[in-house]
Amino acid sequence: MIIAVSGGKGGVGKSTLSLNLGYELDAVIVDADLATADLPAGAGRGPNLHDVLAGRAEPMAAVETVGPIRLLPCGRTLEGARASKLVELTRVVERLERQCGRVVIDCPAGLAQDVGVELYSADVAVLVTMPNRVALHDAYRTRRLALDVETPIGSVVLNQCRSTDAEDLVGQVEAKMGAPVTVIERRADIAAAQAAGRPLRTESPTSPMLEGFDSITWAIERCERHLSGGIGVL
Amino acid sequence: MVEVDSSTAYADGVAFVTVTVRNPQTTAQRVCLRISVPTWAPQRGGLSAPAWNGDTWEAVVGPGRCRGLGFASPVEKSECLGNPVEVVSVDRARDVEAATAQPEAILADLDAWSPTTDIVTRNR
Repeated sequence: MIIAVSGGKGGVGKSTLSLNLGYELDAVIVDADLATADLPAGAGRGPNLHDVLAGRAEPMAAVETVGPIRLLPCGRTLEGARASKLVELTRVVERLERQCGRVVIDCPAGLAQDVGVELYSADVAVLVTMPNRVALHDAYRTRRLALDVETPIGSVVLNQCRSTDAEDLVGQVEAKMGAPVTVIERRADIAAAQAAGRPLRTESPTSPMLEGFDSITWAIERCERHLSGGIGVL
Repeated sequence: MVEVDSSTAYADGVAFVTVTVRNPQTTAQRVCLRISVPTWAPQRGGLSAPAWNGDTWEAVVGPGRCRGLGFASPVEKSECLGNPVEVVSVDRARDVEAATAQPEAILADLDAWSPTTDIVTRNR
């Protein structure tokens, strides 16, 4: 099962969700933001995604264990980004899936070919957005692209909500996106865990926001059961 | 012709049917299906979802593509549905070229990927 975490707009919390979802699903997280990677860089000594996409390293050789998560980190150099062959990405994540079971792809912002290929490589997409017009519009465009490349939307995450602005928005977003919506509030414990490069569950095991991550995990596992049943209807 | 595959799950006196329609041909096909059991079609905003009209479903399936549909029916497991989906007609669809692009063509149409100008400036 390959899950792409996307959403169009930058700064909506794609990397935060990828890290937490990767931990909750016991998946390998691929930091596929080739130019502006922001998941932990690992020890920085081994090969990274740039090397793998340039054909200089095997995918499994670049997977690192960073604290409680398994991560294929992305390089931080412009040369590395330029040398990366985007067309290799599908093959790379499929190999990781065969060897590790589940893969979470942390997509970059925007709607260029990098995001397109990552969505195309995935079995299901999770859209991350925020309760404002620009972010919702970008998420909707990302949804369109995902469906065009035949990747269904498993879940939509309304991130960084205030407790007051979610009430009637959830129903509207759910109707428009055609996928279950989970609300994650803006909270200091989530930001602190992300700054430490660790999942919320290990940093703050009593946080009420863990329920939100649980419901996203269930939505993904439901998709997984559908897909393994051979019927592509969600 | 098209290939129609269906499976049914039962819960609380309701049958949930999932169907896939695959078009192995090289042209888009307009497919019409009729459901032979009482049909609860999916609803969107209080109206039946697009493609549904009562117990019939009609939509275009692109060349080499697959579409999914699902509906519920108030039928107990003991009343076994058999195959509740019947193909009424399959005709070549002539007016849908743009809507049936292959994923590869869609990817090729996107903007080329490149590092943002922001990062280029930082690297100098």
